[in-house]
Amino acid sequence: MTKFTSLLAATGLIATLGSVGTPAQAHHAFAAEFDANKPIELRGTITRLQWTNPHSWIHIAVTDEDGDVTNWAVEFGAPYSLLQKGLRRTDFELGTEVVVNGFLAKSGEPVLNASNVTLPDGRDFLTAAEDSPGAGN
Amino acid sequence: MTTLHSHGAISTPSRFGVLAIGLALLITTGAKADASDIPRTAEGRPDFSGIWQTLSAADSGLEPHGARKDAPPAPGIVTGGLIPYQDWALEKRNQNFAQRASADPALQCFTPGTPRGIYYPEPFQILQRPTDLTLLFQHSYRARTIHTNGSVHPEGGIGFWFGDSRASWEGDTLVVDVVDFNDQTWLDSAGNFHGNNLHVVERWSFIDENTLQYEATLEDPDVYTRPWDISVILHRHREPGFQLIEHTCYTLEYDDYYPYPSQESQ
Amino acid sequence: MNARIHRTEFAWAIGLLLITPTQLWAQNSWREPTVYRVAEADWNGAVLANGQPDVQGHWSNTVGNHNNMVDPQGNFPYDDNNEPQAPRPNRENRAPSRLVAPADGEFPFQPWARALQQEFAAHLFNAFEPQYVEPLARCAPGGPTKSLMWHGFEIRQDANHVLFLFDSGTRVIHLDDKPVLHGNISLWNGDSRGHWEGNTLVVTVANHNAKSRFGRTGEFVSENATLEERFIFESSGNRFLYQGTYTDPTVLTAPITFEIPVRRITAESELDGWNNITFPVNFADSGRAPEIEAYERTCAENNANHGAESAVAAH
Repeated sequence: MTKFTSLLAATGLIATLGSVGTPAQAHHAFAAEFDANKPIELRGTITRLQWTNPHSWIHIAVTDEDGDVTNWAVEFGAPYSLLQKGLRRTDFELGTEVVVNGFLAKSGEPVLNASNVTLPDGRDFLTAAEDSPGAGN
Repeated sequence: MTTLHSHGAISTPSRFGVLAIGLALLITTGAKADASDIPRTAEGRPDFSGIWQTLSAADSGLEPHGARKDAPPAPGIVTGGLIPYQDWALEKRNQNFAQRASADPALQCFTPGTPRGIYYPEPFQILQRPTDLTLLFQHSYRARTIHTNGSVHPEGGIGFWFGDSRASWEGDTLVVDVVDFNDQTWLDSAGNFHGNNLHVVERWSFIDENTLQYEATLEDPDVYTRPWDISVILHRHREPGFQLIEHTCYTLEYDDYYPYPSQESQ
Repeated sequence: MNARIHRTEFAWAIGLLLITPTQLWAQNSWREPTVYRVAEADWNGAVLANGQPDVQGHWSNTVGNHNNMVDPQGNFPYDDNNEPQAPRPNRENRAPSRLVAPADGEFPFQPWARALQQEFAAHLFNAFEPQYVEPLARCAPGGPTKSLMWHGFEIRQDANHVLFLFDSGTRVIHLDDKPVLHGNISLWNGDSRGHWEGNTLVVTVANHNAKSRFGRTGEFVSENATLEERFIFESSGNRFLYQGTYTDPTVLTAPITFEIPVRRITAESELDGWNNITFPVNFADSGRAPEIEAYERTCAENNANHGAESAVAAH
């Protein structure tokens, strides 16, 4: 287990920037958890899926140039919004590689709010949750 | 006739055993209602509308079990007694059982799903229209739709908490086909579980105007060695003015902070 | 700090004329710049077997989301860096405040309540106290009014019930005369009793816990609030207007009335993944006319450890 995943397990929370006291949750408000000034692209192997409302999650193992593996949690929009675009849970097979573009968590933990995903077969989908940049809400 | 039990023993039921099973079936299934007793819709179908709840202890454990600290003894509702788990699944069920006080998803207020919502120890309400039945469960206050409009399942790969339910009528019995589940619900509070490939076929019928017979066949090739059956009786709530009470238990953790913490008012 | 919102009489006059949706210029056809209002009248539309108006089906509001009832198509008062920002310009070109009473469209808060609301808004993006988290973000039910401001929803009816299926929860309006629950029990979506007057479903909401608040901007009433609602349905079957009046001397200096315009979702409606999250019904008989259905509505994310931890750390 990498230091990131053990940190995630230990804290169990997405902390917000500059927080004092107990960090709290604010799903649906992109700016509470993610930084629109920090876009990145990740390529990784799918290790786990959580297909819940209002956010779907995929967990991907990303290997850096030193060969170290970090497990990232990648947040998508609601399953039905993805389904309306033609994207199903079964499109994400464990062990396959995907590319995601998105925005980093403010906390610095390996959590990403994805704006799009590219599947192994080359299909590309917009995945942003409701009020993320580019979601068009 | 031999029976392969999930824990590896092979036994041949005695004649007494067959008789006992037959009696048990008779007691749990009961007789069907006279066709004229059944409440009916304008289209002549049995009308299941109303608020229902089982007296069965099924949720404490689908299999027969002795007394536990968290449950009284109960005879179980599985035809033949035990759920035919694959070996790995039996181990996982036993792990679930050991962790049930924290791991049971119903304790975190996840909706009980199908079939557990039907025999969960809280009432549920059926609202029936020609095109569908809405089942509103007091626990989690979420609704399941059973479609009776001639529609069939969507393409799949969605993974529902309740599964996707499409039904047809066989005389006065509603036969419901349920597929496309997620694996997040348990079948009871004793750790019995299923996988994503669960398939449930339900049969709903009246025993009398205030009593329903609910039967279901469950199969999941990833978890069980064969299909297996359960059966419960549901009773109509007839207390004057009875209604479901919104039970969104997961809000209890943070209730006190809304609309504002009490010390904030003037 | 909060910029005053300018609304002209001209904008109100536009709003009161029944301008057709083809005159929209908003980029999303579910966001109409004017409010489509429906008048109370007799009902001449489809009926249930017992003669009640048949208003079943899929619906969504045409004015905005749960950001800000006072400026439903404006920006949030804080930017992504949690700095205060002025409202988007040209206020008169977009939908007016959803408060139609008081006349200025602002919440008539007592000073302590206004201060608290502003504190909530200032901390939405920096929610280090539990009360700063908008409850809808925790999957809490949206409450009788705000439920109409988050995603499309469905109405189902039988002789004694009007059932609302929201993504944020479920609400039953009872049409019979059974007594409401005892005051010891208070509920996110309240305990509702309603009756039809022509095209209007008139509802009294009891046992309302008021915990759902009105939006991300943090406005609220207390559990002492009374709530009376009128759902005014157009006989065409395509529109209805929600009116909700709250009276709460604990928090407010005057009663408030919300109006929310709502439009039917049909098989021809634009799929936008937010208002219209319906799917085509799969019929065995391919000759059937197209129909839409919604899939099961859940909000399960915050059930992990009773909402105290994120979905990332669950299981």
